[in-house]
Order: sequence, then structure tokens, then C-alpha cells
Amino acid sequence: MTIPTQLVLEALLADPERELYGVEIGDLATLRSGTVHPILARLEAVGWLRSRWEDIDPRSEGRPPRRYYRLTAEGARAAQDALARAYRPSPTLRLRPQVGEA
Amino acid sequence: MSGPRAPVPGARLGVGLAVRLLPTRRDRERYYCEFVAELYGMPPGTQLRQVVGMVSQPFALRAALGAARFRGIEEGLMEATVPAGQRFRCRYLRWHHWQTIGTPDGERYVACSVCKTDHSGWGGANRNTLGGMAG
Repeated sequence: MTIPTQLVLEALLADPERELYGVEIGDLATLRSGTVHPILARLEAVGWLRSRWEDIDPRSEGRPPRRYYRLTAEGARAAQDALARAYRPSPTLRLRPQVGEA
Repeated sequence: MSGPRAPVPGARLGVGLAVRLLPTRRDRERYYCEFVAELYGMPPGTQLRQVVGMVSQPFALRAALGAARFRGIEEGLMEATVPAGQRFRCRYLRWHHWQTIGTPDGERYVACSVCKTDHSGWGGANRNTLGGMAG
């Protein structure tokens, strides 16, 4: 899992019940929109995320509806597992010589 | 519309460019609306920075949507073996076998069940259809 994907998942897992739109997710994850939306599309495709159009009256709000994203229950569990694994490098990786080592 | 600051024309233009490369008209419309809606309420400078981010990585979103679409078609269609003749008609004669496919979020689109090409409108590029809408 890439670091940007981890950041997006962390942002969404901060409050799994809360719906967020792209810019909010980008702000929380400290990523640009061009990075966030491809990740959201992939997560939605695998069923970790669900998205919906905001239910507002554009005339009264003065803006069009936003697309809101939220983790599914299965997605929240899978994301937690994936992040837990992502933060623990395997022993093989830890033993691999690092660049610059003698 | 009065209320939050609307996107400046340059930002709208940038969003239009950013979504141009997306694979289907449905994707282009969805992401255009989504990106424009996200720009509302931002100062013009922030809008333009946001749009630069969108424009800088169109291929990433295109690839992500392409992967999602392929997976959706695979799930939506039965895993049937496609005869060589049908593949030939699709690839070389552009005679597609259109089928309406549903996405998990309830939306529907039309794609060829053989080569997975998305339908670009009845008056558009894919005029050579075999049997019209199948399904």
C-alpha cells in the first residue's frame, strides 16, 4: 500500500461514521486533489468506500451538491488491518541492507 | 447562485481539461460536477492551486477508473467464453455487442460485453453496432 493511500485511509478512519468530500479528505491527508481522487476511485471500486451526492437544494445553498465519501463497515475493518500491516515491515525487509551501508 | 464564492472561469476551464482524459462520458460528467462543487467557497488562488493538482495527474484517475470499470464489467457479466469471430467483429469491424451494465452504486451505463468498450452515444463515434442494444 502506498503512503498516500495510507494517509487517505487514516483520514477516513479518524471518524469512520463521518462523510467527507474530496477537498476535506485531501486537507486531512495533506494531499492534493489530483492524488486523492484516484485513490478514492480505487477504494470505491474494491468496496472499501461508498460515495453519494449531497442531498441539498443548490438554489438555497448557493452551490452545487458535493460528492461525499464514507468507509463501509467492511472497508473500515480492512483499512485498519491494512494499516496495521503497513506500519510493521516484515523481518525480511528489516534485515535487508540499506543503501549506503558498508 | 449567490452564497459561497463560485469557481473562477480559469478554474472551470482547468477542471474541464482535467476530466477530458477520463474514459467515459459518465465519468467526465461526474468528476466535472464533483470537482467544480469542491471549488465553491475557495479563494481564487486556492481554486487555481486545487485545479493544478487535478490537471497534473489525469492519468492516475483515468487508470483508477479504468481498473474499476473492468472489474465492474467482469462482475456484471457472466464469465462466458467469447468466440473468436465476435472478438474479430469488435476489434476490427467495430460491431459491438452493447449491454447495459449496473454499477454497485446503482448507476447504469452501456458497454460492449465483448471488448469492454464504453458506448459514447448513439450519434457518436460508435455508429457501427451489431444488433443495437443487446441484453
